[in-house]
Amino acid sequence: MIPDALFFAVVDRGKAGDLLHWAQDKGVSGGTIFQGEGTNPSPILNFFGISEIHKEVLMLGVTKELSHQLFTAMKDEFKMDKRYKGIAFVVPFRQWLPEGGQQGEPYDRTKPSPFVCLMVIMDKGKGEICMEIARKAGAGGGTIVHAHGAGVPQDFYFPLLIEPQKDLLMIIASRLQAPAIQEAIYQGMSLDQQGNGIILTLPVLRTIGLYQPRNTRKGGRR
Amino acid sequence: MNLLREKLNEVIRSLLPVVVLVLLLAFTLVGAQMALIIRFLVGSALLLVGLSIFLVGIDLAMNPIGDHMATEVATSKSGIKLAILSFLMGFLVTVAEPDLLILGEQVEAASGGAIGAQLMVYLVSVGVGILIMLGTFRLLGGKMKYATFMCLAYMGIFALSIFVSEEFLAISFDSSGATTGALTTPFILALSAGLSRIKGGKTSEEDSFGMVGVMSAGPMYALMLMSIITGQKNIEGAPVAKPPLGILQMLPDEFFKSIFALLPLAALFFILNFIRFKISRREMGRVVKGLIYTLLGLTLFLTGVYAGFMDMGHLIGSRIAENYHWLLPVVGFLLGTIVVLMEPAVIVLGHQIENVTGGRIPLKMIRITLSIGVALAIAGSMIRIMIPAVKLWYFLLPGFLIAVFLSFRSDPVFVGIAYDAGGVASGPMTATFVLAFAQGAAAMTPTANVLVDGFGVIAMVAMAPVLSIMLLGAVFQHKVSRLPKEEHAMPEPVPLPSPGTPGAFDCVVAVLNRGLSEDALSIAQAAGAGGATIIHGRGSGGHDLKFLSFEMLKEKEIVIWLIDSRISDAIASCLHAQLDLSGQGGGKIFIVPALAMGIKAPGQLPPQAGCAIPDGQDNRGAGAQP
Repeated sequence: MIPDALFFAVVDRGKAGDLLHWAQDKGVSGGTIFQGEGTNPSPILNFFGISEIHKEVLMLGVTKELSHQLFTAMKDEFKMDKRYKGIAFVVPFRQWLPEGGQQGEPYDRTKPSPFVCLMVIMDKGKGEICMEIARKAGAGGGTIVHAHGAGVPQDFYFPLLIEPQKDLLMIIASRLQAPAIQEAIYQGMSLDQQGNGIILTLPVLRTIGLYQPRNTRKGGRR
Repeated sequence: MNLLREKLNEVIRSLLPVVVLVLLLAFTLVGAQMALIIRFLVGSALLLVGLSIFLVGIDLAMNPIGDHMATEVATSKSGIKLAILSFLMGFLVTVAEPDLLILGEQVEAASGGAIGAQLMVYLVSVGVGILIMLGTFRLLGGKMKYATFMCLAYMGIFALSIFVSEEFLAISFDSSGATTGALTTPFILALSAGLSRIKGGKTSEEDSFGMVGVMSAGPMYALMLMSIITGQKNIEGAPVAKPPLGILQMLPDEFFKSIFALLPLAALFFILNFIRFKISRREMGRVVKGLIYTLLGLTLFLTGVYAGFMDMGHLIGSRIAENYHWLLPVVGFLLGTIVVLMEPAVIVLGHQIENVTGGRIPLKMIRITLSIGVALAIAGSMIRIMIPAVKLWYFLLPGFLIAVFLSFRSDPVFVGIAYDAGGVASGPMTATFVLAFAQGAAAMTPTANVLVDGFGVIAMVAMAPVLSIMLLGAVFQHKVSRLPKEEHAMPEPVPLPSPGTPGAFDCVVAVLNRGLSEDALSIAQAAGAGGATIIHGRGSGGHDLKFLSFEMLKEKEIVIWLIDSRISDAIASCLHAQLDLSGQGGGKIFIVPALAMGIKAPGQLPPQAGCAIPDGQDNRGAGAQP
């Protein structure tokens, strides 16, 4: 069977490797890990400036069957249904296999997904501001990944390709919440002006580890 | 886990073995007094809290400061400004280093006032400034390989060392250890990481390391040239252990020393911020908080080390030399293994390795190699104390020569890390605890000369990790060269199919081996895609490299384009056809559907989820805008 979904897991630094090993034992051919930062709404920690949480993101291409197995295991072995243990989610995708040729059916865009993954790409340093805006609009938490744009040649003493540094913020939100968060970010970050950043939404088929706060909206930490 | 807890955990993990070993020695072989043991424990507690806070401060303040300064340097339009700015940074961080002033006072006393302490500090700072400047030009220019640069630097040092006496050789190497202090090293590390990030390109990973190694050559040049010019050959002093003070008496002293060390750098940053950076209030808040943490943490850390660790080190050294002479190298080895992991700069370097390589190079592997190197260095120093016929340069010269030779056969990332490790390992812990231990041992060894043998321990600690990590890099390179070669051929371009039916946006994602992203970007651009966003990661798949039970994952680049779904298939196919992704772990291309509610053009309502997006929108990714 060919992989038809992209499995993401956001866990504490150092744990993604274990997870990848574990998945490889289950038959996943390989995966990619990148480093991100979690966000923390605690005002006390923020006051002291130590709210940063180091995270790792694991990305795997999985089949439907495997995705199901992974989720069961996330619950049973990695206790992801508990708070603070990390989150995992899957996004539909189509892969171009090394042997050549495209695989899988295009995703049916009209099919509603229970969750969406909001991705905001903006200049470096704005990720936290953006997260604050999103949180006010109802988002629980998010993960910031440091990325960079393609190089732009500039006229300096050394002819360097300056690679603009970017923050990529990932927020998982329920389908109902998403439009409000998206609108808030769009307005709050003035994304209508070119160069301020872009926001996009990926359909998410299934999640685990999202902590649903009971009364307050704060607290869902990823 | 928040930042402070993370750092506390980290520090406890490296402090605990030290405390256990020292207590074990104190109760068994050494028989220390209770008062001293209590002092040591209080010192350890101060060290634990201080180092944790200090590391948080480095994360919050030093990294952004280094980053902004690096941007300012790299984006200079004139070479003169670039030179002045990089020189100034090297000069300012060194001139304020407290350890250097102490060394200067010793040299002044030893030379009978012929060489003033202030003069020496300035000379060394100028030396560091010039080397940082040269290092910056090398890094940004990218014409010369780092290994070649360092080879030339060390050849110069060897040539000069012929003309200076052994004592002065030791003091020169020691001064390079004193320059790379607790505060200087994290800043220089952040600076070089910033510079290489801006420069980008295929060598950005290896360029992130090595500046500390470059800077530690500065003091050696300065002092050796001074010795040759003034004709000063003999040094009769030794690093003097300060008389033990009460912890409370020490606190304000260390506090002012820390302020003095931090001030020039902070001042340069605030001035540049006022003129150029103008960072947001939020970021400024973080930097100021970070600077306060750095100051508090450094004060507590240094107080703990001076008050609690120095006497203990001296006592252990002298008692063991007195009663169990033959055990000295063994105890030295054990201490060296664990003490080096307490060096603040070692922890900071570890984080940088993790961040820059995306976790590709296992931190544990570097730490173990570093430990073994320093352990052997201290054991070697003990042998030197026990057997007077063994001279310092028997170790230093071959050590550096082999390291320089290996640097050409070693993985480039390891070369930078190795040269850095020398400066990083010889920090405050070595300068106090280990030095006190060595002096204690020398005092109780009848054949040893306390004055001469005191110098040189730091030099040994600065040399050994360079060699050990370089060796690791060479072995690693050897392993890599035996893996099946991966060829990334570029086949002929494939004609782009005409766009299909209208649709929404797609994320075209390519997970590629390091260095391929530039090719991918140009292919996609030719095929009609806009800008892209690139994330560094590490990946497994295909033949992974197992190395001494450590697993080395391949470094990957994840490139994300946001493309109108009408042409996304075509672009993905194009990328797939033109990038050679054959073979296991070669790379992957895939498409993730992005719901059209994401991008909005000005003046248009957000389309409902799942509907088509209107024509003619700008679908450039964020990366397209500089």
